[in-house]
Amino acid sequence: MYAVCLRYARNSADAADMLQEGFVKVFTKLDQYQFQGSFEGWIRRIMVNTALRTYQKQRFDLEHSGYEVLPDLPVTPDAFSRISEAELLALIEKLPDGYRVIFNLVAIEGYSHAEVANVLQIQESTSRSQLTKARRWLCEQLRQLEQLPEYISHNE
Amino acid sequence: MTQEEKTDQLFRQKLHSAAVPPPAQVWTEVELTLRKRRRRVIAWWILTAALTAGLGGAWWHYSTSSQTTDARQMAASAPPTAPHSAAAPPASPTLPTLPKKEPYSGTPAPTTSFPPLKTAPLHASYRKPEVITPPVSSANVNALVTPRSAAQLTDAGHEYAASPSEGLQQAINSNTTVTVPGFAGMNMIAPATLPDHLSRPAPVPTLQPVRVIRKKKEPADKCYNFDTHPRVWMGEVYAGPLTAHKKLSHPSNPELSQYLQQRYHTEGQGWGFVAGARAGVLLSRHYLVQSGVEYEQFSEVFRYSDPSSIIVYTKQVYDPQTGQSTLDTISIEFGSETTRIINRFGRIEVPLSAGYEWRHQRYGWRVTGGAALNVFFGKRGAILDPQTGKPAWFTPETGQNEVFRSRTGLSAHGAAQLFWHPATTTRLFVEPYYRKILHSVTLDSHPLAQRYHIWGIRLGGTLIF
Repeated sequence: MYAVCLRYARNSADAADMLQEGFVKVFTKLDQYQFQGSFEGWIRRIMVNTALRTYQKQRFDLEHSGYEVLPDLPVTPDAFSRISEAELLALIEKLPDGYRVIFNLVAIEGYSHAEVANVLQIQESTSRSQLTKARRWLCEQLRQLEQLPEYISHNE
Repeated sequence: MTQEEKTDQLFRQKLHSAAVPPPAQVWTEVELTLRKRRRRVIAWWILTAALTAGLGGAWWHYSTSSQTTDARQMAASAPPTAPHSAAAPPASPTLPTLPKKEPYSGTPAPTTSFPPLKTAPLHASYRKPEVITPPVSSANVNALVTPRSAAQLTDAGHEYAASPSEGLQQAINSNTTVTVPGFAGMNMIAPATLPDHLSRPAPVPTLQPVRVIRKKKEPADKCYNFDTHPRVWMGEVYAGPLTAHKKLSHPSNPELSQYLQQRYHTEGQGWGFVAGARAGVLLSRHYLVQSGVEYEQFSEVFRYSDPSSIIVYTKQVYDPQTGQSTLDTISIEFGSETTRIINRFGRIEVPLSAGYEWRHQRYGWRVTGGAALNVFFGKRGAILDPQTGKPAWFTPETGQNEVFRSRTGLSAHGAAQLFWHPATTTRLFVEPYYRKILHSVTLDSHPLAQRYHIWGIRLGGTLIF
């Protein structure tokens, strides 16, 4: 669950706070688990909701300049196999808050754009455009990382 | 599947089940937070129980003390019981309840005729008020044995004491304490029995210790970390001295001015103590809301000297030329009969306060203000009867005519507290406070309105949960 929080948080300290708050809710609301679905999935939903509530309080901006000009080039599966989970989490951490939340909800958690728009109180088109920009930025970062000499020698 | 969906799938496969070990302090903080929530629930139940016990006890106390005199008369006529042992305290007599009194309905209606305080026969347990009479030396009372005629009145217009009886003559000759006839004794209105709760000081509420689950002890030089815990619960207990200043007032009636001055002259300053317990919550590190139960008790000395009681010191002078004896007045002493009674008042309040707190390392200040509701007002003692001008007992059980209300209503208060942290979760504090009882404590039927301003100091400790 700490990895889940790391994907949503701006830094590891925020992630630790989210994890702590999430597990306090898990223990205090344990009687509300009705054995429908997996227990891990129930805890994961609590963690995601805790992360969303944290950033709803902070009112992050959804529009950031500089991401719309990125090329839409795919990343090969090999690039993913060579990068570690920690490096990928570090890349996601660098995303702006809004991009990061939408990318996590749609790309990794599997929510639809309609569901995300309802939760974050935004337009569905905004959710789509944010996800596209976040995806392009991450792919670009992965390509740049692949081309680094020390990265190539480390993974060879 | 589109390219975007393929890319998303790659991210999902990599990250959905990723496992990263969390920092160790996360579990410590989770445990601490869960423990604090349990303490908060306990503190809330303690506060609720304390308020319920305080209100219930005050209601029970008031309902059992508000009995008619008939039952007490029945108890007075009962055969005397065996002396009580130290282990068996005497049981209070069961008395029927009084008829309901009219509630307070605003400013009292002015009246020139004052109903007298009701009389009742004495009960066996009745304690006579202390009567102090000065000893009289035999050297200057010889005139008392001399019969006098009605024509020999002093310029002050006071009658001399009546001719003493033989018994008085013997008492004078034996140089014992003499009580001059003419003062027939106090026209006091005595209750059938002193109410049980006023014949002895009301007990200070006993506070039960609270079991606190403490975390690992931190160095004492560290104040509680309110930055990481902006909302905390606190419990406090305290006690301290107080003084009560009385203010009497009346509608514009010149007849009452003299009575008002006599009341001030006969009733002294009130001194007593305060004790209580309260719980509160500190919000956003600085804002405080608290409530609890508080008991205040103060005593006033009632001292009355009957102006009609006088001792006239005279001497007989023999004129050898005329061969007749004349009486010469040496001195006149007024008010030799003095009554001294300790009037006692006890109040239970339920306060509600809000305030602000500043802290600097281990010290801090707090200012609070609020209102309190009085749930119990006990009283015993004597004041001057407005009609006769003589001392008269006031009790809540004498029937239809009483002096003081059963509850004093709302009061407003303010306080400033200085505290110090000897340990992380404990404080010691000193808190001067002021309370003003907003309504008069006397009934509408009494000619004077009587209000109190109370100044006190609370000394106590705080426990942070």
